[in-house]
Amino acid sequence: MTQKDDDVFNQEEERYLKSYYQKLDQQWGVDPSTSEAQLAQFRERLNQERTKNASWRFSWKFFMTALLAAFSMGLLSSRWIMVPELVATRGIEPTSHSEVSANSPPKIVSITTLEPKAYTEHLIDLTKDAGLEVTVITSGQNRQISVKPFLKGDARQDKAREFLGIDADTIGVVTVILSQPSP
Amino acid sequence: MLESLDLNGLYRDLVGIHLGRKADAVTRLYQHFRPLLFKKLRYQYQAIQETDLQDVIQEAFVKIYNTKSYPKDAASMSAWVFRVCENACLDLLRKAYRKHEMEWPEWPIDSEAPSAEVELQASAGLQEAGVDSDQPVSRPLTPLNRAVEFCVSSGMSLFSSQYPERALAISLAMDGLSMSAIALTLDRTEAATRQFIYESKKKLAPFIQHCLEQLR
Repeated sequence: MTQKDDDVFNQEEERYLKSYYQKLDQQWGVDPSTSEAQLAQFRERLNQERTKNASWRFSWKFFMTALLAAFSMGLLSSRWIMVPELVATRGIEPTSHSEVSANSPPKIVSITTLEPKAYTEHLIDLTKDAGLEVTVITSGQNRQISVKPFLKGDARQDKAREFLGIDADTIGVVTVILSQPSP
Repeated sequence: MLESLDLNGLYRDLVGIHLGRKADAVTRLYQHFRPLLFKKLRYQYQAIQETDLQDVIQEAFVKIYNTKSYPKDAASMSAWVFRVCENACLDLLRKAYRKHEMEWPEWPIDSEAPSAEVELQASAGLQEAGVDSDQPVSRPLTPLNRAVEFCVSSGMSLFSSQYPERALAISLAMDGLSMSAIALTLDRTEAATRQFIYESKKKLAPFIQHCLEQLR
């Protein structure tokens, strides 16, 4: 672009135009800079906005804190409520059975015998006074026997271990499945 | 005005996490951009009250304070402030118009040279002021010869209502603003703005030429 702005009007005409626009701006309240009063008004408005935002943020934080506190209280109180129930469902020995079970995978021993009933009775005899609990589930001639808890280094349980053919260091729950040979 | 702004510092404060500095940055932006924004909107929406417009602009800058999306760098911040504020202002004005069930004023579309009717109205302004447009006015003139001024005012007011954006461009140029600031206000490149101002003056000439001839 090569034209100059002042090509259209001469100097005097430009002066008229400038004067007209200055008057128009005055009439319309157009000012060349922001006055202190306007700035102060805006600062005030911004402060109100900041206060509003801060109170909103505070209420949001308060809500989150309250929620977390309630959750934590729930967790703590549930421990107190639940613990006696857990103790009640546990067993025979002062050692926690569930802990042993949780730390050791279940072992399954499958045995085929002509006399499942006699085998079961003998196993029950061996577990007596050995700190073991035996649960027997019978289905026809088949039986599923759960023996627990085998504890590490408990000499009283060695006979039962030997009878079941499991290692001396086996701990936790041992499930024995007894079945008769097919005819 | 806008050239004196430390854009890098403002940008850092605006996007930073320190809310006090952010508020200061927005206040400085308001201080520097308000006059141009106000002028642009005032020329565009002449029917809106001055105080309402001031209010809307303040609200737009409050929106800038609350926004979470920022310009990508300091260099693009001026254009971003202008765009965000202008859009926020337009939204607020539209809401106000809807609330009062008023018809939304659009930018008039540029037409060709003024119609005969326009010229007739402008001449009428001159005659109304007691000046015979065929007779030369004796010089020297007072700083603003009243009759000529009246004629010019009539023509300019027609021009402003018909071409508000062009009137704004000429006015900004008359204010002695830098081309970059005018370009920013009009959302054009500097070269396009220079051309636009030149063309605007050419468009304005038929509206007031017959009045200004009295000065020659």
